[in-house]
Amino acid sequence: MNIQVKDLHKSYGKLEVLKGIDCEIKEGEVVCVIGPSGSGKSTFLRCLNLLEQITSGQVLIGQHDITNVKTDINMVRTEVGMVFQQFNLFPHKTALENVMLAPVIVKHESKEAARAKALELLAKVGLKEKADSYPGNLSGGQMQRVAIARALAMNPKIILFDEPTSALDPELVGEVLNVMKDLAQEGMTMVVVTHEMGFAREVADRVIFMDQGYIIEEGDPEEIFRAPKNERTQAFLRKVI
Amino acid sequence: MNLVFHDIIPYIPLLVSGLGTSLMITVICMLAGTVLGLFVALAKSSKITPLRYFGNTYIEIFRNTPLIVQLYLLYFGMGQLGLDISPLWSALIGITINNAAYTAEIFRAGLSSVPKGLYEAGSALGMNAAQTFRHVILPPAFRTAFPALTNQLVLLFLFSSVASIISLEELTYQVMNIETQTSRTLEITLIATVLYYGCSSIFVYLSNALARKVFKW
Repeated sequence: MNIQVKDLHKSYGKLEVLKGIDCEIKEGEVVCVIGPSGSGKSTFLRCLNLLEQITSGQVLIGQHDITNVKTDINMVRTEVGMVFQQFNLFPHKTALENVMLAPVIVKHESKEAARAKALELLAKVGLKEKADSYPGNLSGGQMQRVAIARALAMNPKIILFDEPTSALDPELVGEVLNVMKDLAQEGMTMVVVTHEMGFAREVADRVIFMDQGYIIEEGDPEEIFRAPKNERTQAFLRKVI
Repeated sequence: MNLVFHDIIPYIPLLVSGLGTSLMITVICMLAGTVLGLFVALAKSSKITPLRYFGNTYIEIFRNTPLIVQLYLLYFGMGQLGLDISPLWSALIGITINNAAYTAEIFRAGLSSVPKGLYEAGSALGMNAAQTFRHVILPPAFRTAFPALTNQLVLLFLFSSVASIISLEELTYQVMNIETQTSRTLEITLIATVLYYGCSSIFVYLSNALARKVFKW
């Protein structure tokens, strides 16, 4: 499933945050979105599953035009997973229950089937032994891995990552990035807003640099990181690397 | 000091029955008021303007007038209009409606304590608003609200004594009744104090036990 974005604008009142974004993300592609704070990269990501209302323009998720009010956005969201900076795990549910909940109540899967799949996914992110732990008893890295398993439980075609490691202690970043790397290798379509330049360089098929509501530059990670063409990209990369 | 409890012994059945009535209206009004209060809280937080207006007006009216006046209106006021409501039903309806205004505010505080990210997590998984509310938002909101609800339960139990003025034969009514018949004012008042205190303590104890059982996270 691919994503097509055409002339996307987003304003909060008079403040225009996205000023005309055009891009396409192909099936199986891993795209990292980088850029300074306030550049609009998280807003852009959140427009892709309509967590933000789109002011104008068009976003197509596969065949679904999510900017059309007739589109059942909840149905589209079952195919587009999301992983948040603050994890947003359900505090009253165990790791296992966090992963099981949406398949059972949204997709009406049987509890047994959902449980079996959830255990499998927790094993995949290396947390099978934490299945019965509540989020309050997990580390940040563990919570984020549960959140990834929770997104995977819906069998999404695309996963959006909104700064997934920004809230983590430095020593916990690696375990989350490794899970994401595995997903990328399995061919998952991923859009990752991140400050982890090493990850972008190593894992991304393409890097998009955003600043002040525009896509300034995009291309192969080697190109962007070794020889950025735009001077704003150059200035940004000088600061962060 | 000369306390004579002996005179009161024949009236023990009245005390027991009065206490039973007090406990019954407390439990019923707390349960009904909690459910009603949740809906009022949702109305007040609604995006739909008339609903929000209704929720707000409801809370303002019932919090800003005394329970005793509300019960008078229901029992004597409605009676004057030809609508006879029994003391028990007047108390059940009046205290429930009054209680809901307070639990609504408690729920609003609980609901606003839930981080916005949890709504987003529910939505992003394809849940509709009702599913997100029921499975994601309500449990943590309820936990936050629970201590205040326990407090409200005790207040409600104590305030239910107001129903004695519409001749509902609950604990305070029977205490005053026995006082009139025996003139053992201090003795019967001490007994009432112990009964109210004891039952309030039991309510708090049970509520805490329930919280430990339900809120495992």
